[in-house]
Amino acid sequence: MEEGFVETINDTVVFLDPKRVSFEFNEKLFLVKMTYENESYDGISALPAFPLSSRSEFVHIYKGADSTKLKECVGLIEDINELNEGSFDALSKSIQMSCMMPTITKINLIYDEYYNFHWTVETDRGNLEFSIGTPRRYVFRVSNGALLIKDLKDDYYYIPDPTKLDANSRKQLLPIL
Amino acid sequence: MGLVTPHFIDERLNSFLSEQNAGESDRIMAVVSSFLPDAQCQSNWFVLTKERLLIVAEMNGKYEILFSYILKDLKEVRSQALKGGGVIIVESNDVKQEVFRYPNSQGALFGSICDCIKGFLNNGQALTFEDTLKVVMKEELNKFCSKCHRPKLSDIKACPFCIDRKKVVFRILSYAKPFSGQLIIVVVLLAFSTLLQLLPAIITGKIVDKVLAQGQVDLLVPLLLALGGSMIIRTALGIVHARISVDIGANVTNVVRKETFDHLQKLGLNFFDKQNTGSLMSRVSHDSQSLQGFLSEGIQYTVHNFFLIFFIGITLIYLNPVLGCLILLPTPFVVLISKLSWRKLFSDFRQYSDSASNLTAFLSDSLNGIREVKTSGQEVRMQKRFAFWSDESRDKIVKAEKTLQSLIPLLNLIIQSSLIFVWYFGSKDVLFAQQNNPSDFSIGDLVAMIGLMGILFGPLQLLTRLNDWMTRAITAADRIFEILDVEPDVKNQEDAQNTKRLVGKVVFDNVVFGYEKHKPVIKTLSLDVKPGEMIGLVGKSGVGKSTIMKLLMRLYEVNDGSITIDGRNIKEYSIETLRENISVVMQDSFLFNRSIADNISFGHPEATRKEIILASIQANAHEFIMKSSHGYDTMVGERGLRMSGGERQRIAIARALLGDPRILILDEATSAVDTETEQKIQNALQHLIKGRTTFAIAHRLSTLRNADRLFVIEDGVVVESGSHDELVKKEDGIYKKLVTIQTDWAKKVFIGGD
Ligand SMILES: Nc1ncnc2c1ncn2[C@@H]1O[C@H](COP(=O)(O)OP(=O)(O)OP(=O)(O)O)[C@@H](O)[C@H]1O
Ligand SMILES: [Mg+2]
Repeated sequence: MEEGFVETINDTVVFLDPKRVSFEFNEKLFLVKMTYENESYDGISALPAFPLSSRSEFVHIYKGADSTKLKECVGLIEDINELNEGSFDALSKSIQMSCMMPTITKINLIYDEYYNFHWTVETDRGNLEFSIGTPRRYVFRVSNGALLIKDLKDDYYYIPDPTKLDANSRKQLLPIL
Repeated sequence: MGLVTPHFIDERLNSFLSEQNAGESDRIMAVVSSFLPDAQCQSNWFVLTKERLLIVAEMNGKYEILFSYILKDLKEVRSQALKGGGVIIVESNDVKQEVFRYPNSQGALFGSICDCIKGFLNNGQALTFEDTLKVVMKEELNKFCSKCHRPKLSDIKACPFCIDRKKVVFRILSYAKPFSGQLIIVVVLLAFSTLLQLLPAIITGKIVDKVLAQGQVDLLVPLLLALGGSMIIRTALGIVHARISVDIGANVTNVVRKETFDHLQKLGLNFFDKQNTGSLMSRVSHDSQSLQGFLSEGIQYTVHNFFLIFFIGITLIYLNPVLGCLILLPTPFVVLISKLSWRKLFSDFRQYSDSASNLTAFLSDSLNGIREVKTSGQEVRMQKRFAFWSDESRDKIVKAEKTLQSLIPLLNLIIQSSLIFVWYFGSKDVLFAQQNNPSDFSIGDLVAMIGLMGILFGPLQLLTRLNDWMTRAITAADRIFEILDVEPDVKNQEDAQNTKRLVGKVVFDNVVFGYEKHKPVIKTLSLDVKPGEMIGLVGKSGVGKSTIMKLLMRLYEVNDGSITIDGRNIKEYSIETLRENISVVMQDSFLFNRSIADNISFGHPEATRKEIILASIQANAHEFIMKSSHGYDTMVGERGLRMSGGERQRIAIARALLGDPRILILDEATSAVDTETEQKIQNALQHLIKGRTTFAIAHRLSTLRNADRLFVIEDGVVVESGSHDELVKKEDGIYKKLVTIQTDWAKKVFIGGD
């Protein structure tokens, strides 16, 4: 019984060997190319199974951004840290392009006005400003301490580990948490 | 004229676009997103002209075209949702490119834009292209406040920054209009009672002067009588105006609350899909409560304190202008400090109430899910989680209360400090007057002034809180008005037809529907059902079987196409007609927290006991109902928990049978009962189904054995139809495959194959 189960997984999902796979990023066309043994795919998209709690693990590689259907899945990389440096960077880029919520790296100011909090932040993708309502309904604690923030427009932002932010950022966060 | 998102196009970009022949007159639309194609955060423009698609970004202070396509050369344009956003993929000359990225909030917008472009590529009709886009753009614009362009808190209305406070206050007061006579009485009584409040201090001054200093003992009793009298009258007035205020407050709140609930009952299901039930509940119960607080106490305190400050100010200045001003000296400080600290306090208290809500939410979650908690042995983990929220709630209240409790003595100190000055300068004034002109400023005057001071500072502290008080009441009122201002989308047409009895011929003609318009669940679906036919709907979980039935009941409005009953569009019937003629057993039937009998007769409160019993017998529910502790009067526990799944379904069936409907909908009505019970219900249903149009949905295909025709639904359309016998003969038929799987499985389980 057990064995059959594992077999079916292997039939549908291939775990890619990090030693034999490589990725390249085309800066002009914003495309990531994957090469595995002799096969190559242009314009793959990469989706981690846990986009919030662990972006570098169980990354699914799809043939294009068209679908997340299982049959379009070329394979799965268990831990992208095992890739060589160039591939790691390219794949990270691809993950960044498919997990679009900016990661907040620094909070300059959170200003409170009539039940609304205005945030001025620095993220891994540039500086941003946004507003949220009552924290209870706009800030969510993800399992491992990470914060997911939804703003008034329904856009998402992400703080992987609030305790690792600098002192001022943590101070700004106080009225939120 | 071009359509533009709320972020308007500035001159510089406009002239750049003009150079590219994409100026205002050529442009169909320009939408900005906050992502570059490589998902870095920066403004990126999606520009459509009648012939071209341009992707424009600002690089190093200069606008640049990242991608440019001739529309009619494109093979396909589509959007794909990613995590936290999405991407637009363009295909031309067999090259696929990801050209544009948009944030989560613009998913619906770009989904529709791509649909429009697809339509344009397929039939080249530029006109529909623009019209549809206008609707989409309007929806996008609706997300922002039209005044300050900030995103709005909810998709209903109201921007907290642009609430017209005056308008809201007037609207609240308009509800108090029937009580305007009482309101005037309250104000007049308040003025009198405030004046009387000053008397004790003034009389005390007179006692000091006349009785103690000048020895006019005969005045003591009359003065004390006046003192006692004023206190009694003031108390009496106080009781009267407080009672009237309570009356006004409670009545207005009652009217508002009832109106809100009535309105909620009229709104369509799509309103409730988007709203959180908890938040709606708090609007009806909690917000209307805040309103009551404001109307009965708030107005009273406000008016009272304004009178108080006004009268005392005049009296003080009359008694001694210089000293009067001295007393008022700390006022600005008190106001300033309260104002500064109140901001923080307000935020502290709000954090506390948020954490209290979290605690309640967790509590209700864990109690509602207590079966899951127990069956998975997670009690200890739940205890820890509860302890976490509970501790947090404690920390917040401690923080808020500590600040408040330190602040009050501080304010008192400032207020009392003026006492020192008043005693100092006042005593000097008294002594000086005694040597010169004793009638100028007597000891009694000083005593009266100090007495009045004590009364004055109370309202001063309160005044600083008034602003927040008002804010809260206004926001509460506004949240309620938001609901009242939503137009019900499914409502009776003016000339809606009331038909007692429908015949039951149902036709779906190219029906298109999506819970969100850009994601259709039903795509050009057509059905034709004869009166009295029994129809089975088959299809995978999530294909939209229940949705089709909801559309027939007109719980949602179709986006396109039409549904007719007896040749007439269902929109032309009154909603009452539809409810009377269509009965439904829903997949997840809800039982109300009432007796079983009440639950069965929910749609037909006029049903007799006999009818209820007959319906239950037919639904095979009678037996277990009789076994219940109080028979038909047994109360169904909260959320119907004390009933088994099958029992609940049978009650729902009885409920549906009671109305003698023309059209019967059974959505997985017997999925939770055993085969034998199902057999019994089926048999009972057999003669009920006769003469009624029946739609049955079931995954257990044996349930549909008796159906005249079966429709197999896939991807929003009917892919196969016919009787069971016809469909199983079809080679490669979907239905045939389903039947084979189910019989194989049954063989394995019951016969014990490999
Ligand atoms: N209120 C709603 N708001 C948004 N989407 C909904 C809503 N109700 C259903 N859906 C979605 O519409 C699709 C069709 O749902 P529907 O309930 O009609 O399926 P079904 O065929 O009855 O499935 P099942 O056999 O599991 O009952 C599903 O993808 C579902 O997620
Ligand atoms: Mg269903």
